[in-house]
Amino acid sequence: MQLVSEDDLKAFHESMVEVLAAECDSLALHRFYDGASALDDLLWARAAELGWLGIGLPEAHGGLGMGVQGLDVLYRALGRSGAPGPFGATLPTAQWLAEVADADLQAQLLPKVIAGGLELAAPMVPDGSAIVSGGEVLNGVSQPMLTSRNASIAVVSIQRSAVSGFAVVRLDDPAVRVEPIELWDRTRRAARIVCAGARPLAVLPDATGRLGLALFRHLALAVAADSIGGGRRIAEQTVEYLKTRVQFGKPLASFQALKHRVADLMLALASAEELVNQAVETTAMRDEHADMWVALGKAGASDAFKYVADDCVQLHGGVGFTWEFDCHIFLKRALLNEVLVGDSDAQRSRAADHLTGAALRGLSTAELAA
Amino acid sequence: MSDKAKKADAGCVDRTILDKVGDEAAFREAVRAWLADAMARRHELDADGAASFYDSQQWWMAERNKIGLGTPHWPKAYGGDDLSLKYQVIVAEEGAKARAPALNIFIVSLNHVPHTLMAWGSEEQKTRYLPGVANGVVWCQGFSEPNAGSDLASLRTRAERRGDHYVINGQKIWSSFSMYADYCILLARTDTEAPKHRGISYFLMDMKAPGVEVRPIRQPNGEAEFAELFLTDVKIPVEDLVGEENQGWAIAQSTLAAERGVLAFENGERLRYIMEDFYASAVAREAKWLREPHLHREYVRLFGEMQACRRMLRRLLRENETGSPAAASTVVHVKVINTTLWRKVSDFMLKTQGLSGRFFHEPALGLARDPIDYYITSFGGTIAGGSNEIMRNIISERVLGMPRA
Repeated sequence: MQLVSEDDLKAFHESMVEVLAAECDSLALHRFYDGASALDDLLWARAAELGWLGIGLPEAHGGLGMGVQGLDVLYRALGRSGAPGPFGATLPTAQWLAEVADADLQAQLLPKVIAGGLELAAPMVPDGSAIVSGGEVLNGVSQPMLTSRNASIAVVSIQRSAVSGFAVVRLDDPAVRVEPIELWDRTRRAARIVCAGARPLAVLPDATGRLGLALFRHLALAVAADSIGGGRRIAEQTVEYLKTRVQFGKPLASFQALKHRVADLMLALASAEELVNQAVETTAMRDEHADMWVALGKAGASDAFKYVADDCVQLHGGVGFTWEFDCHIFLKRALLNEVLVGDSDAQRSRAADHLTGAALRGLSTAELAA
Repeated sequence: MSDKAKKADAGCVDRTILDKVGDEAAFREAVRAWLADAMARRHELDADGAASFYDSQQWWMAERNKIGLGTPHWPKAYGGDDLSLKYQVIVAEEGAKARAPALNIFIVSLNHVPHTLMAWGSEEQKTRYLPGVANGVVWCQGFSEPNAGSDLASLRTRAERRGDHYVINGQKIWSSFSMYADYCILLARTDTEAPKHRGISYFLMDMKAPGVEVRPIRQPNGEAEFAELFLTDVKIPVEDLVGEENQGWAIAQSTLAAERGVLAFENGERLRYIMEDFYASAVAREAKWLREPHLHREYVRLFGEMQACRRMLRRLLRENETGSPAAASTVVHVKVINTTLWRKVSDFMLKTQGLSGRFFHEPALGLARDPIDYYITSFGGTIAGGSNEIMRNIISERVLGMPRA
């Protein structure tokens, strides 16, 4: 596997950050939060227009073929601006389909995703689906799904008599009902999907669990990168606030107690960022230990985001505790990221199992390319 | 120095490894084979139990020198081999992997001295002082003083010019391995009227000169790795002034930058193997803590931080090599992260040991030390080289632009 060069990724990232800084700035985000705009749809359309939606997908479907590395810089940019929209569910799911679905299904769905004409829903956590596949039809209620305003297809996990797996379901099927769940984090949408004799577009059996690993690997990478972007944004914004807010005749930013607090935020982010880089690179390289690094990266990044977003409210003082400032938007996003794809304890327990397995086989999981 | 200088004989160097430069895989393979052999011989050396720490360090430098890996990273003209960073990294990686000893008493000789002299030293200073290092010449650093720690620029050791030499009077502290040192890189005040940063000069001092007294300081682990230097009317010839008079502060900055390259990198590599050895042994013994989910999760969290730190150290090397401005930020972050991690990891190891972790074992050369020893000595990292509090000031003020009070 060939890695995409750091310079290329940086250039993509910077251009995305620039667009989003203009189109998803604090004011736009607050208007969306208050239900006064369809920023989610606008950003999705803009991303399609700029070719972002295919950044990870194979060139055969019209994508840019940059895989998880390309997606990573997009997720970081979206996280940095707290962007609403279908990104966090649709793009990882599409990337997964490009790995595991048959050619027909890929050809049917992926070009539409790239063009911005198809939004997908995906499970928020691995467990909890009560959808049962019997014969040709699905019945039951899904676990909470991450979705979007115009999602028209969902990938749900299913139980069959013996084998579990995934089903691709059309949400406009009359036998499917979508029950929205309101979230504290208004930049994301959730719903339960209720099937009553629904006929899936496709069923992907997963006897070995390989497909499930792959789906949640892509979802976890999205949450991890989003957390890095969000953490960086709110930390930097807090530093700027401390520079302007004057008390006792000087800017708050000149107090050493606050300087050291801020330095600790930056240290936490720097470390988490490299851990996510490790997760992305090992996934791109198809390293046999990649899933351990993804678990550690997701846990490390969402922990850092929560720690940073929490302290940024406190560092802002009173205004941090208002609806008008951005702090709460990022804190709520961090609190959702904390549990998406499973919480940090669950991630690290998986990583621990992997590490033990590797040690028993005498393998090192820490090799780095020179 | 004279004995060590006499041994200098570049003709004796076995170039089996150095001749592989240009083929990274072959170079790595050769380094690995040589290390396996050298480590086997080291165990023989240790087996008789007589080797002192100093002898063992000198033995290791001599072994490295035989195959041209004593000071390969500096120019041929001064006894090096112009080995590029990429190959230095291979040597550091393989050394850590072979659990080879670190060249602790040579840290200043191998990093600070060449870094400083290459940028600021006269041709004569470079020719005179650099080649000796491969033959075991030990340098120490005379920077900190009892009243000049984090505020280094307030140092008060005086250097007064008298004809063809300077006369030094004052006191230095925290000078690592200075009890073994042949020479010292020394900061002293040459102008007491100038602002504190502008009156300091940089000297090369012979530790055998009359008036130099070394009093070892014991650390909390009982060992004495550093010392106080008492300097009374010590004469330093004017040719051992580095750069210009009163230019010492700027020169000292490049000395300190030497800590931020392969030295720090190797430190991160060593922590990796300490963690992997610790974990492999726990798995082999089916240690109880592996079945305590919160402890096991805590371990993998630290393992992830270790890997992130190694990546950051690699990033720093790349940024240093390309002269990227990002290095100024990376270096302060990684200093805090790396040194803090040694404390957290050793604290974790200690936690898994319970009461037996507090039982004292005489440290043996070449063997892993008690985790409690790693824990206690980790404060050396978090306090030295700019304390982590100073690093936090730098992150907030220089990286983030928060105003000074």
